[in-house]
Amino acid sequence: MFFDLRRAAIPLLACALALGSSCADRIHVAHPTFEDGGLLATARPLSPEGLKVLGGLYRAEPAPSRFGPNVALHPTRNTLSIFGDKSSGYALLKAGCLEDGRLVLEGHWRYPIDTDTGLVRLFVGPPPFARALCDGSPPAGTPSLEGATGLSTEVPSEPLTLAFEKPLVDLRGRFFVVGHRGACRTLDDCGASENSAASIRMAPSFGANVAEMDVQVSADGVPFLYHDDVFGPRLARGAFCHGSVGTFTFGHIRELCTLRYGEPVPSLDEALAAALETEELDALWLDMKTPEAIAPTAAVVRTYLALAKARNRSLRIVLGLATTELLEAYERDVPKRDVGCLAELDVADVRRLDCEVWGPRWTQGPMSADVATMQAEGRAVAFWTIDEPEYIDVFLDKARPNAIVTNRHGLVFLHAQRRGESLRTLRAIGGDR
Amino acid sequence: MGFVALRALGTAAVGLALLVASNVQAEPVAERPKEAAGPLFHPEGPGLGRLRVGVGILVDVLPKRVVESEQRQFPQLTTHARLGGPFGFSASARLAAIVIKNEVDLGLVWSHSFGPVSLGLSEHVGFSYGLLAVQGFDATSWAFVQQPGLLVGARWREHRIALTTEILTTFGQRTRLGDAEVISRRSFVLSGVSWLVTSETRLDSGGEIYVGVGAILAQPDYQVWIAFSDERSRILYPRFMAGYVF
Repeated sequence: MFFDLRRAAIPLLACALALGSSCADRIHVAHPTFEDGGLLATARPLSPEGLKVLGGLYRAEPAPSRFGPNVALHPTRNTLSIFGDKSSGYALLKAGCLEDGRLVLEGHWRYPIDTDTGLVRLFVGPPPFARALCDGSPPAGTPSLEGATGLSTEVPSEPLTLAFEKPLVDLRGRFFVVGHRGACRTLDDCGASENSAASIRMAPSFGANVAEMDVQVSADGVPFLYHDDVFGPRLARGAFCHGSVGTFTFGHIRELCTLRYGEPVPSLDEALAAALETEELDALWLDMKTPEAIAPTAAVVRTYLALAKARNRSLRIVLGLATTELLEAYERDVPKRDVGCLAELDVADVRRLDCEVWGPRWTQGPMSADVATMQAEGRAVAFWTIDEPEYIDVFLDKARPNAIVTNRHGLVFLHAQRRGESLRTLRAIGGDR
Repeated sequence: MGFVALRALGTAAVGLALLVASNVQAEPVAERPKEAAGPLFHPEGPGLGRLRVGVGILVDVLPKRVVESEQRQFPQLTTHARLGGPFGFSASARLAAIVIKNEVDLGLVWSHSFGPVSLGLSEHVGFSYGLLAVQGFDATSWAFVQQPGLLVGARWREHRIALTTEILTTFGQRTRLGDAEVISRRSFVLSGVSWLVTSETRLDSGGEIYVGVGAILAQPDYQVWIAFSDERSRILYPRFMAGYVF
C-alpha cells in the first residue's frame, strides 16, 4: 500500500497557509509633535545664519545620553539636526526666538534602527548668546544647549545638555555624505517615501549633501524615480498599482500609484527641480535601473545642468552604472560624455568610460590600493551602502574614500566630522564637463 | 516574481518529501524492521541506544525589510541526528548548509512523557559560517550560536507533533570584507526566538517523513550571511522544512 497523502493533509495545509503569509513590514512609526505646536507656535523662527552658528561638535551630558557621548549639530536653512552614535540616533529640530528672549529648539528624535522615537526641547544658552542670535548680531563665546528628551508623545523629561567642543569642518570638496534614495529608505520611516521629491528636499537635514536616486523609465519614455522593477505594496500604494514598471505609461503611474507616504511618483524632471531648489545638495547620483532610461535621463539632466549654470548654482549630476548593459548603453547613448558617469564595477570600466566617480560596493572591502589609484587619476570614490559605525570607521580610515552612500546619513556625517581635515580632498565629482 | 518562485520551490520540496516517502513505503512488509526507533524532533526521541538521522531542506523566508526587492532565496540542505541515551537524555546534532550560510549545532535534549504528552528541554551550541564571493561580494562571516529550547510534544494517530521554542543567541560574530581586517561586532547578543511545529509521520517501513512550519522573531543579522543590516528591531518571518528520517 502506498503512502496515503491524507496523512500529511494537516501539515501541508499549515505549510500552504504560512507560505501565503508575509510578515515583512514593521509597524509604521508615527513621529510625535508637541501639543498645540509647542513653544515654537508663538516663536519667531531663527535665521539660517543663526542656525549656522549653532553647528558644531558637542559633548552630550549626562551620560548615557539619548544620543551617546558626542554628537554633531548640523544646520540647514531651516533646521538644526542632532546626530549621535547611539543607535544611529538623530533629532530634527526647528529653532525659534521667544518673547522672553529665550531661544528654543523643538522637534523629535528617532532611532532608525528600531521604532523608538520621542520629543526634544532644548534651550540655547548662555542667555546673552541666545539673545544675540535672535537679534541677528554676532554672539560672543560658545553655545550650550540644555533641555530634555522624552519617549513617544510624552513631554520631554530626560535631561540633556550639549556643550560645544569645536566647529564643524566644511566637507564641501572633501567628502560627500550620499543619502541613499534621498532622506531615507521607505522602510526607515523618516517621514517621507524614498525616491520622492519630499525625500530629496529633506535629505540635507538628515546629514546628506548628495542624494542618490533610482531612475526607471515608463512605457512612454518618461524617466521617473522608483527603485524596484515592479510596482507593489513594498513601495507603492494603489489598488491597480501592480506589475512591471516599464509597462506603465507615466500617466498611468500618476493615476494608479502613490508612494507609501502618499506622495506622487516623481518624474525625473520633478525630482531634479526639487534638487535644484535644495541648495545644500551639492550633487546627485542617479542610479540607472535600466539601459532604456539612459538616453531620456541624459536629456533631462542636460536641461538641469544648464539651469543650474544659469542660476550660478553648483549642482553636479552623475549617472550611476551598475551593470555591463548600463555601461554599454551609456557608451552608446551619451557619446559626447556631456553627462558625467559613475561606474560601479571594475576600475577598468571607470577608465574606459572616463567616469569621474568609481562607486564600488562596500561588500568587496576597502580596496585601498584601487581607491588611491582612482583618486590619483583625479576621480572620486564613493562606496555604497554603509550603515554600521564599525564599518564606517574602517572604510573612512582604511580606504579614505570621497563619499559614502548610506541609510544613516547623520552617522556618516558625524564620523566624517571627527576626521575633519584628515579626509582626502576631492578634485572632481561628476558635472558638466 | 521571486516570491512566487519561492512558493513553487516550497511546494516542490514538500512534494519531493512525499515522493521519497511513498517510494520507501513500497517496500515489502517482511523487510520492515520489527521495532522502529522513536521520533527525531518529538521530545520522546529515538529511545535508548537508538539513532535517528533525518535529511531534508529548510527555507527561511527572509523579510522584505532586509532583502528589499532581492527575493532570490534558496533552501538549505539539512541533516538532523539524535541518539537516545539513558534517563530521558539524548544527544542531538544539526547541520544546515548552502555555502553562503552553513551552521552546525551540537546539543543535548532531556525529555519526559506524561501519557500522550511529552515535555523536553534542549541546549544546542553551534558555529555558523557564511561565504559570499560573487556579484560584488568578497565577504565571509562567522559566529557562535547558543540555542536553549523548550519542547512540547503530543501523539496523534501515526503523527508525532512537536512544538519547539528556542532562544537564539549569537556571540563572537565576525566579518571579513575584502582586504579589511576581521571585525568583531558584538560580544553576546540575544538575537531572537524561534518557534517550530514539526509533524513526523511514521511509515510502515520504519522511516518517517517530517514537515515543519515555524516562525522566527529575530534581528536581521541573526542570519550571519546578512550581517550587514544595522536594523535592531526583531522581525517575524516564516520557516519551512521537510524531509525524511531514516
